Amino acid sequence: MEAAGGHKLSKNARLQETQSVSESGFQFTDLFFSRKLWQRIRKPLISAGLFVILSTFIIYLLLPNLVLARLVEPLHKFIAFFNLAQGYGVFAPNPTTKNSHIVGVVFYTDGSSRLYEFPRLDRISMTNKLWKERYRKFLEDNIPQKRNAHLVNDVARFVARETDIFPKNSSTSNRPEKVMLLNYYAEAPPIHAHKHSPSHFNMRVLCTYSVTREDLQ
Amino acid sequence: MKIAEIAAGWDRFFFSPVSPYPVAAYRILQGCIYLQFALALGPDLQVWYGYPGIILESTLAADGINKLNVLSYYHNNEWVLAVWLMLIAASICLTIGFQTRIASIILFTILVTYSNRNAYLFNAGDTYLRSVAFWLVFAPSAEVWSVDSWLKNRKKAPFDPLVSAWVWRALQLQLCFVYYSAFYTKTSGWYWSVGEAVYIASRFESLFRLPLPFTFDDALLAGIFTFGTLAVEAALYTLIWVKELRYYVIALGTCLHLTIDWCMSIPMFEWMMIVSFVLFIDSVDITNFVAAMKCWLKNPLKVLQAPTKA
Repeated sequence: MEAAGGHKLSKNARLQETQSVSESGFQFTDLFFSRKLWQRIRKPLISAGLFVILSTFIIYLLLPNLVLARLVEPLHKFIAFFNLAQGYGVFAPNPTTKNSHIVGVVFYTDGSSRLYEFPRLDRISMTNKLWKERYRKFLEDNIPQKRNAHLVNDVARFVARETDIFPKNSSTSNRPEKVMLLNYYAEAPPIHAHKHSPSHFNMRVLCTYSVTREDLQ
Repeated sequence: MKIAEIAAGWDRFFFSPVSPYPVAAYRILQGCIYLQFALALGPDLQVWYGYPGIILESTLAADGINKLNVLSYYHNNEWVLAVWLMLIAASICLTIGFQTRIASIILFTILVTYSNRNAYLFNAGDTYLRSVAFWLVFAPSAEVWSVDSWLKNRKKAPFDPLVSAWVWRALQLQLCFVYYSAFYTKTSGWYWSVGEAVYIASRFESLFRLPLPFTFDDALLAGIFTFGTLAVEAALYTLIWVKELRYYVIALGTCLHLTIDWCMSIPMFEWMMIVSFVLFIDSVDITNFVAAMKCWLKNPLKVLQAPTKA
């Protein structure tokens, strides 16, 4: 095994060149340490930092595990503050079998109603997908999840604001009164069925939200 | 094995003087990815991060955990726009290597802010971008191929500097963490174990981009691609460290990501992984490649001309 990179140079040349880099110009560490002190503590300090951070990252990759979770508990605040929690489960543990989309149904005070549609990634052009991909992640992957139920009312409030066609301080009384968020979905057919993916014929109500005047401000 | 030997091994791995070219090349390529990330957020910036936004700040603050969020300093949409413009400026500065350290700190701060303000629109690729930004704060990435190095060394004779390896090693390990996690989390999935995961993923309508010359409806083909994906992902955090196999593994990884990019629309993700492979390319090969490109750009038709006899 051999590490990638690195020129083959004599030890003296290496030292000279490393020194020339380290001695020239302002360095970020000058803000905290003198050059002499930094040269002395550099390796132990960086080694300790590397060991702690890399070990924490590795432990986060091995979670859920009760013992390991206790081990990284002291660093949890640091990790949460900088949102450095690790986890790269792409299409894991299973790719989703559901194709879904969410629509909002808005009921106005006068009894009329309106359908509010979010951008649907399966119906937009390839170029638009570049800009709208976040809607897929947000609305198809996250909002329908039970663990994210606390977010649903916020999405309903957003729909109410978007469909409030009157100016903010208008005196008209025909404002959004209720918003229903509906999640339509269909399961992908099994591999041996050799069928096209069906339309999203299943439906569940994510929430029925009563809009207040404050929500529309 | 003795403790002194372990310490010497650690020292060799993390603190050997190495060429700065792999990290500099990575900084430039990853800077372009950051710029794309920022631009892609632009059209719906106020939806995701504006006031009040699709998710209220108060809803997210309910967990009581203190998180870095510079958007909360001023509760207005002009500040949201200003932060976004700073992200674009920082991405450009990182790419060209101008005030690189400051640019990387701003970049990291804003990426963390975005994920803390509304993480529900982000995927694993964004977690990787954030983690990489953390390491880039410490990286000597502007020693070469940067405005900073040009300003610093313009009056000196040209020389190739050497830098300490530790950030480069951390970035390499970070890439391996991604593939380890991607592989390990899949191994407990039913569809991955029966070889149907690629078929299921190909049925995800929202991600569909361009058709392949074949479909994954055939169980044998789906199985080959499913287990092939797992094998390549496993190689990308293990065999990539073996020098003789490294470039083959990188070629396989690139093929995997290009295939996914062809048939699935996951903006940036595949390209950010492909550009990360530069961290494992020998610095001599990188500089040779750049020299060849410079030659080609000077005279693009030269390669088409037949060699003349002396």
